[in-house]
Amino acid sequence: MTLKTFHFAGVASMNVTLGVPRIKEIINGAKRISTPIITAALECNNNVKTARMVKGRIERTTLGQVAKSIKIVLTSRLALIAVALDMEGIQASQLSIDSNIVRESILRNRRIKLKQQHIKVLDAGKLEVHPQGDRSTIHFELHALKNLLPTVVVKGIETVERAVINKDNKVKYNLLVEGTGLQTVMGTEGVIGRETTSNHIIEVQQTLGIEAARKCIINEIQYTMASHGMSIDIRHMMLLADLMTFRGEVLGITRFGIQKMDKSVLMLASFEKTADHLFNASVSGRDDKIEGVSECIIMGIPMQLGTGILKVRQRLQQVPELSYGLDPIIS
Amino acid sequence: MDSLLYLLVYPQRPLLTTRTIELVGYDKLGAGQNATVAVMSYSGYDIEDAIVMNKSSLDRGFGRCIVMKKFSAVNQRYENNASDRIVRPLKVGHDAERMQILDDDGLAAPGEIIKPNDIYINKESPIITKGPLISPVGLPDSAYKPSRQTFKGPEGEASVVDRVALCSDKNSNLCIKFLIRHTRRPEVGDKFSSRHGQKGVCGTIIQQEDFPFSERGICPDLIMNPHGFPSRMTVGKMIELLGGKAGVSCGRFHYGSAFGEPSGHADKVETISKTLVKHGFSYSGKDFIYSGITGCPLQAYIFMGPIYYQKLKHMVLDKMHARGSGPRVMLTRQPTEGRARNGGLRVGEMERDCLIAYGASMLIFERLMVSSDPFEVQVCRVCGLLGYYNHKLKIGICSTCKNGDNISTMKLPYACKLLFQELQAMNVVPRLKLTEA
Repeated sequence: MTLKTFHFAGVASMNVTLGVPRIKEIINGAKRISTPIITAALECNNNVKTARMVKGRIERTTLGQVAKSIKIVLTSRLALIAVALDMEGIQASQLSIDSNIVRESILRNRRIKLKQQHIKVLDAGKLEVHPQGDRSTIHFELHALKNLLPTVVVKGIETVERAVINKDNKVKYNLLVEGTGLQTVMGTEGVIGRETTSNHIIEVQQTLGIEAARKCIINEIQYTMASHGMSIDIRHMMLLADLMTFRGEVLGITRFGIQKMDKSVLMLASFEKTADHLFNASVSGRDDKIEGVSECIIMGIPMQLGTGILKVRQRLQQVPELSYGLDPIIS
Repeated sequence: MDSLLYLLVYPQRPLLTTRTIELVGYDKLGAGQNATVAVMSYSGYDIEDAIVMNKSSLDRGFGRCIVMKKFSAVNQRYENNASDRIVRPLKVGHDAERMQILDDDGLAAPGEIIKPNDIYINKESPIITKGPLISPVGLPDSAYKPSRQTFKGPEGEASVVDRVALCSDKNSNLCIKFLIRHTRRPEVGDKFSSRHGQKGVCGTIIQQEDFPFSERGICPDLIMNPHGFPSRMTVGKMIELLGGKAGVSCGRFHYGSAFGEPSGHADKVETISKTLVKHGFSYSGKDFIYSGITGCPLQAYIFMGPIYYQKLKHMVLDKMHARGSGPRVMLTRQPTEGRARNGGLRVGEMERDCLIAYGASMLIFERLMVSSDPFEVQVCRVCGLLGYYNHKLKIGICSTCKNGDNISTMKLPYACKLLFQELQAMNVVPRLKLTEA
């Protein structure tokens, strides 16, 4: 396998991690992966225009992208920021944004601490923001607001970077969403929630449950191997996925994951951090049943897998009492 | 004096060079020999890059090399002014036949054949090495004990003492250096390579009578498997064969560069082919060959000609190693590691994983416990700690309970017993709970 390849079958602009780094992410159960992608199936999948509307609903649009201008107005009597929206652009990309929606988004934003009375809507395309504060801090507030306002998300899901319309197999359209937020994407209008998948395993576990996470692990490993032309029997991946999810949450194959998976002290001590495990076990007075393979090898008994799964017992026959001597005359 | 030196007995200059090699002077160094090579499948002993060699070529000196090793000893001078000395050899006594090669001064003479276990320096060291200063001349013979140096070579090698050098080191002690030489003939397992990265081990040695021969009666020295060509694409080797064949026929050393320059420093394949045709060979370098075994001609034309082959220093005599049972490491009582210490081969973690995947439980038990370090311990059923066996009373006794009432015997790996005792030294108590087998 080549070490770092980035490519995506079909869409040239998308980058997916493949190869050894991706397998490492999957096996370690990484909470944060480099290219999380959600594949969303569309309800109406033969029309580009409807696809674009759904894309507009999902893709994160910031105020800086839709505003024509964000200007500081400073006169002797008032100090405010005037925001003018670019209505033609908004119409062309079929988003449905107007000043009221912008006002709601600004109020919802946690970093900008403003209240209802500070934002005034002039008409559908213009609004004014009045920052509070006395005369000495007004300058600082104005400039701080001017820097923060373009980053306010007015439409779409915050955790989504961008969405790309993909024509898969040259027949149907679906949407490839870069970013996290599977639950919100599934609930968006126009997206078939039941057929939406993600390649981020921890997210699938949080949204859809542990069995879905197990299936996702299998699919992801299969996809990574298939893109390098290698096919592995599904049973190996099923074994790995079962091992990672049998405790109820997705545990990676690292020293933290194995520590949560296993109860045996000797096996953990033989893996990593020997002294720590032994000292902790002696402090809590732990018992180790010699059941696993590593412990059996340490203690020198045959392991209880394969040929060691059974023991042979021998039936001892009762040896008859033999008497030597002449037969009795009178029986 | 070098500690290890390899020399080729009959080096030859390559038939095909390039202008760059001649500028540097590399062709004057003689690193190999021009062997007549036939590229064909023969005998089945040439799979996976192995080569088949001609026994009569080896008899005539192809690929012979000389290995020279240095052995040294120092006449130590100790703190009390006593020093080692070298005495003349004994002619009678039970050590006399090991001292046959020693000269009258106690050192082996140059030119003597030395075998394993022969003594080559008859040195004696003083018994008392510390204490008050004594004069070294007045010590009687009984104050010395023998510390002879014996030769430890592999069995079957007849080495010769090549040179003996006497010198002094920086504390002006007498330092003696022996250079021991051994001529090695190529055998099955020695590594050879052409100049194109086609390395291979000698697979088998076949008599010249069984080797294929051409119409002019030429037998190749080496037979190379054609499977080495397709994936490696070493076209340079094929051009070297053509150029060498043309060079041998017309008497001029050819140049094997890939670029045919008008300055005459490179030869094009077309010109080489024309030379070959002029001297009666085929333009492609292929010859009409008869089989040596049946005498009938082979049904295909065989690519045959001279290629420069080098002998590499990986020889099977230096690598072959076997052990049944032998020395053990003192700390863990497991077999030692390495060929020099007569060690065993390790069944490592990955090999253990493969055996687990097969379910071969008894095989793991045998490899990792029975053949490695089994140790019988007495375990007390009450306290779970290890006891000891009293040979006079013939029972096991527990050291903590101070009686032998509840002792069971079991087998543990010695490394496990060591682990438990080391943990006990750190105040962590591993107690064993036993059940019926």
